[in-house]
Amino acid sequence: MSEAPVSEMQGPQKATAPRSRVESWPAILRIPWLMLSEFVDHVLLEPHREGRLRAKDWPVGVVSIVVIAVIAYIVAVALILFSAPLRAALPLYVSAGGVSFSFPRALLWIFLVLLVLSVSLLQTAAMHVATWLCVLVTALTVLITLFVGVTDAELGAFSSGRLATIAASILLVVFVIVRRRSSFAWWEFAVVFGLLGLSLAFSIARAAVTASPGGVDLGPITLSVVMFTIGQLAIPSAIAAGSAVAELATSSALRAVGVVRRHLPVAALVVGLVALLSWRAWVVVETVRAGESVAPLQLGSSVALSALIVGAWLLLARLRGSRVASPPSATELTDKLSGVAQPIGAGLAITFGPFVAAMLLLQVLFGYLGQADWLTTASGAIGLLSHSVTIGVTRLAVGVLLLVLAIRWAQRQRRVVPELLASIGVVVVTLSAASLFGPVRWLWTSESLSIVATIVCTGLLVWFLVARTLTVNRMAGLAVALLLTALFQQRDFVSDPLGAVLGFTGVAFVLFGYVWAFLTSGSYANEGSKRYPKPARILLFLASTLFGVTVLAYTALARNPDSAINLGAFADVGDQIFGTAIVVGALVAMLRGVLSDREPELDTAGKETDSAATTS
Amino acid sequence: MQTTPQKPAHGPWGRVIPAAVLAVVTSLVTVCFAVADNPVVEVAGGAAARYVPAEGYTHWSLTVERGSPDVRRVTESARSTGYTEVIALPEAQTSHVLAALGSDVRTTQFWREITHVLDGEDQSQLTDLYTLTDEGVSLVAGYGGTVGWVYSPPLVQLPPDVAPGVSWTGEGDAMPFGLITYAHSASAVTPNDAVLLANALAHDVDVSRCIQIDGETQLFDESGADIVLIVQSELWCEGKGRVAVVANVAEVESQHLASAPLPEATGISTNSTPRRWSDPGSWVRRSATVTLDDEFFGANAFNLGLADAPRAAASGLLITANTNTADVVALEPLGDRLVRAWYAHPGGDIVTFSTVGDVTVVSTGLRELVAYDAKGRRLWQHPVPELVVAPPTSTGDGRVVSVGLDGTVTMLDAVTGEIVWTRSVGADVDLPAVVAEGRVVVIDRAGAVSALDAATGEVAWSIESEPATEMLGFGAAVATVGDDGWLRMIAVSSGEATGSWRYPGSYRALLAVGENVVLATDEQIVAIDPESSEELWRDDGVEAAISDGTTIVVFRGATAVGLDAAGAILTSWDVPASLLWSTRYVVATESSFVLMHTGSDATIVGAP
Repeated sequence: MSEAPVSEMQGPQKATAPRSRVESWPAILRIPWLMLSEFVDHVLLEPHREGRLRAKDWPVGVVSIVVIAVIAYIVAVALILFSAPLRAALPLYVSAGGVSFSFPRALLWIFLVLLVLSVSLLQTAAMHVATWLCVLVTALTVLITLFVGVTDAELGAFSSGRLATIAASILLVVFVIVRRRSSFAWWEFAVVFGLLGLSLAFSIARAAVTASPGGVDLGPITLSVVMFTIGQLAIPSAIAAGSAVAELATSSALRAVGVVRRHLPVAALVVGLVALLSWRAWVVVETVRAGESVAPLQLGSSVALSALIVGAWLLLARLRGSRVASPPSATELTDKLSGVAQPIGAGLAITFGPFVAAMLLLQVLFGYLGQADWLTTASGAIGLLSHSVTIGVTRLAVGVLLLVLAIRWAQRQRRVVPELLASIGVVVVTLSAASLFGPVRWLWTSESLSIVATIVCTGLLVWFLVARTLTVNRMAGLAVALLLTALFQQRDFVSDPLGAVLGFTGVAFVLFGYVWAFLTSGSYANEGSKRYPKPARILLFLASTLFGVTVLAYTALARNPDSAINLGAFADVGDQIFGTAIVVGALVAMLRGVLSDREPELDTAGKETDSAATTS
Repeated sequence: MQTTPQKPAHGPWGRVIPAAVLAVVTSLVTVCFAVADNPVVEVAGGAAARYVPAEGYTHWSLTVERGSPDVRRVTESARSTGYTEVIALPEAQTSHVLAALGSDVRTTQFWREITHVLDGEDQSQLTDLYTLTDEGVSLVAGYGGTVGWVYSPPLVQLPPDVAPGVSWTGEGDAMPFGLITYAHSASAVTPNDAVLLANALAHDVDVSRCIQIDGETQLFDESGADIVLIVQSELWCEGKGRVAVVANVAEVESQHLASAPLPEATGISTNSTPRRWSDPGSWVRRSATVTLDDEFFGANAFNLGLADAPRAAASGLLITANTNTADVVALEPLGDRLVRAWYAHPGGDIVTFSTVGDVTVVSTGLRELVAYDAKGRRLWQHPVPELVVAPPTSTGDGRVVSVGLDGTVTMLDAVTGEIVWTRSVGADVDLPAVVAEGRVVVIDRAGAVSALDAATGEVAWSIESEPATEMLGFGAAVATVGDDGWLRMIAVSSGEATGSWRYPGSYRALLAVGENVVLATDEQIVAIDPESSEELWRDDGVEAAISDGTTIVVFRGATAVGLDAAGAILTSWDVPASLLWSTRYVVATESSFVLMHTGSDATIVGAP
C-alpha cells in the first residue's frame, strides 16, 4: 500500500480542498490541523456522507414529508436535550402512589402528534411494500387507533370518540386496499396523517371533556398506557443504536493511528505505543485490583469467544475457497456494522411485535367487551411472548440464523459481511445460551476481553522485540489493537459527557446511538427494489427513527427510564452484542496483519466490498 | 403492485402544492391535538372562586381574645373534585353531606380546610368542607370539634357575583335531622375594618385584591330558640381565602389574625430508638380496623388508599400516605384498632415520605418538602428544584438528607428546616441516601456512587459502579443491590469494593441481621458474612422480609415466618396475602409488625 494520505486516495473534494489552503501554514500548525481534520472527516463526516439520505430522484412531495419528519425529529431531540429546564419550568403531572410518574403536563400533546406522525409515516410506507408487512402494519395501526378510542367510554352507549376511531380504522383499511397496487403518491401521507390525526384527536378530546369535570385528567394516563404498550416497538432501533459507540470507538482507533502514521515520523508511533502500553497496564492493574468482571472463568471465556470467532472465520474462508491469509480488515468490518445492526436488532426483538399487537388487541377487546375469563387467560398466554425463556430462545435462533447466513453468503463468495455476521452470531449464541442454560458468572465481559487483548498485544510486542522482528507495520497494528481495547473498555467516553449535560443518565447512550443512526444509516433508503420501493424505504427510515427518539424523549421528560420501555437496557444489549463482535473481529483482523507483518489497513480507499448483504 | 419509477419533483405541482397541503394537514393535526389535550375545566363558584386558596396553600393565624392567651393555628387547603372528599368524612356524616349536596357530587368541586390548633387545652384538629358551585363558595360540613356540622343547604360564604355592595341571606339545617338550624345574612363591602386592614398591611397583603364580608349567623335549636349569634367581619383575599376575622360570638369578641409561621419547634424528638423485638416467637396475629374517632360523630371505619408502605415514628404512630385525598395520616395502634391520630395535607400528591424520630418529612408533587411534628402540625416547607422520589434519610443527629431526581443532595435540620448544605451530584437519583461514618452516600441511576462529608457536603470520593435497585448501610460499608444481579459492598471511608455476591431472582429485601447481611429475593433468602464472604445459610425465596436486627420475618403468600439469625424457624402466622388488585404493605414497629391493604382492614402480629 502506498503512503499517500487517505484523503488523496479516496478523492473526496471536501477532504482535499482544505489541504491546499493549509499548505502554506507552518508545520507546527499544519500537521496537527491536518491530523485533526482528517480524523474528524473520517470518523464523523465520512459515515454521514455515505449513510445519509440523498434527495436524488425522489418522487413528488417526498421532500416535504421528509422536512416534516425531520422537524419533528429535531423537536423530539430538543425535548430530550432541554428536558431538565422544561421540567423545572413547567407544572408536573404526578401520579399518586409509590411508583413515581411525573410529566410536564403542558407538553403532552406534542407527544401525541409525534406518535401519530410516526404511525402515519409507517402506514404510508407499508402500503407499497411486501404484502405481509403491509397487512402487519395496517393491523397494528388499526389496533393503535381503536386502543386510543377505547379511553372514551360511555355507559350504555357507543361513544362518539369510539365511533370516530372505528370509522377511521375502516376508512384506513379501504384506503390501503384501494391504493395498494398504485405507485406511491405524496397525498397518501396527507390522507393517512389527517385521518388518523383527526380521529384520534377527536377521541382524546371527547374522553377529556367527559372525564375532566370529575377531576380526572385522562391525558397523562392515556399517553402513559399507549407509551408503555407500543413503546416496545422501539426496541429494535434501541438495540441497533447500541452499536454506535462501539462503531465509533473502533473507527476512532483505526483513524487515530492512521493519521499518526501519515503525518508523523515513526518516533511518534513508538512514543504513542509506549504511552498506550503504559495506559493499558495501569487500567489492567486497576481492573484486576477492583476484582469485578475479571474472574479466571471470565478471562477463560473471553479467550474461548475469541477462538470461536477465529474458528468461524477460518471456516468461512475454507468455504469460500479463498486463502485463509486474507480476512476482512477491521475498517471493512466497521464500515459494514451499521448496515447489519438494524435488521439484526429487529430479529433479536421479533417477539415484541406480536406481543404489542396482541396486547393492543386484548385491551381493545377488554374495552369493548368488558372483563371476561378468557381475556384473562389470553393475557397470561400473551405474557409468554415476553418471558425471558421466549426471548432467550428467540435470540438463540437469531444467532444460529446469522451463522447459517454467514455460511451461505461465504459459499457465494461474498466477503466481509459473512465474517461480521459470524462474529455477531457467535456472540448472540453464547449470550443467549448462557442466559438460558446456566448462571452467567463465567461469561466474558468487556473488562475480561480487554485484559486478554492487552495481554496478547503485550506478549506479541515482547516477542517481536526479543526476536528483533518488530517492524513499523507491526507497531502500527499493535497500537491500533491497544487503542481499540482501551476505547472499548472505556467506551462511555462518548455518552458520559452527554449524560452529564442532560442530567439524566438513562438516555445519553441511546440518544447518541439514535442520532448517529439517523445521520449515518439511511443509505438503504437511497435505492429501491420491487418489493421495497425507494419512497417506502424513506418513510420507513423516518418512521423508525422518529418513533425511537419520541419514546426516548418521553422517558427523558418523565425522568424515569421505565416509564415506557427502558431503551437504555436494550441499547446495552446492542452494545454488548455488536460491540463485542466488532471489537473481537477487528482485533482478530488487526493481529492477523501483525503476525504476517502487513501494513494495517486503516482506511477503505478503493475498496468495494459486499453491500448487497446489508440491503437485501 | 406497481413500481414504475417515480418522476422527480418539478414545477409548482412538484414542490409548492404538496408542501402547502402537507403543511396545512400537519398544522391542522397539531392544533387539534393541542386543543384536544387541554380541555378547559371552568372553576365553579363564579367570582367567589377567586378568593379560594389554591391546592396546598398554608395559612398561619393567631387567635387573640381578651383575657385569654393567644392561640396559634395553621390551616392547610386542599382542592379536589368528586366523591373523595365526602367519603373521607366520618362515615356517620357522609350520608348527610351527600343529601345536603343534592346535585351530582361526581363533578362537584370542593375546598377543604384542615386546621391544627397549637395552643390551649383543646388542640383538636378541625376540618371544614366547602363547595364551589353555581351558588358560590358554601360551607357544607365541619367536624373535629365538640360539635359536627352538616349545612343543608350549604351555608353560602361568598355568592358567585360577590363584589362590594352585594348582599345575601340563607337559612337551613346546620346539623343532621335539624337538631340545629341556621339563619345567615351577609354583605360584601370594600375593606374598611381597621383591625383587618392593619393586619393585612402588616403581612404585605394587597388589600385592593381583598373584600370584606360583614355577616351575622344565628343558630337555633330544634324548638327554634336562639342558641348563639355570631357577628363577624372577614377579610377574604384572592388566592388566600379568609385572611383575618373579627368576630363577636355570644358577646365575646375575638380576632383571628394572619401571622408569620409560628411552629412549635421545642420538645420534638428526632431520635429513632433502635427496634428490638421482645420474644417474637410468642407473638399472635389479630385483625384490626382503621378508625376515625370523632367527638361528635363517634368511631367510624376509615378507608385508606395505600400505594406505599407505612413508616413507624418514634412515638409509635404509623405514618401513612392516603392516596384518596393526598393526606398524610398518622395511626395510633390501640388494641384491635388503628385510630387516626392526626392527618395533614402537604399539598399536591404525596411522592414519598419518611420519619425522623417524631418528625415526618413529606415530598410532594408540587416539588416541596414539608415537615410535620408528632401531632401533625406543620413545621416547615421548602421548595425543591426537582421531585424528590427517594424517601429522605435521617442522619440520626436531628438532621435529614433529601436527594432530588436532579441529583441535588440537601442536608436540613429536621425540626427547623434550616438548610445546612446543598450539593449536586450531577445525575438523577431515585434511591435514598445512606448516612454512615460521617458521610452521606448516594448512588445515581447510572450507578455512580458518591460519598459526601455529612458536615460540609464536600465530595469525599466518587466511584463508578452499576445501577442499583437498593442501597443500604451496613456499619462502615454500604451495600448496593445491582440491577445486574450482584450485591456489592463498598467501604464508606474509601469507596473501595470490599466484596460482591451474585444473587439469583428478583430482589425483595436487604437486611442487617447481627453482623451479617441477609439478602432476600423471590428465589432464595441467603445470609452472608461480609467479612469472609462466606454463605452462612439459605432458604426459599420470599415476597418480602423485615427484621429488627436479630429476628427475621419473611412473607410467603398468606404465611409469615419468623426466623432467627441462624435461619431457624421460630414460628409462623397466617396473614392476608398480597392481591393482584391490592398490594399488601408491611411495617415493623417496636413491638409488632402491621400488615395493611387499601381499605380499613389491617392485621397486627405482636405480643398477645
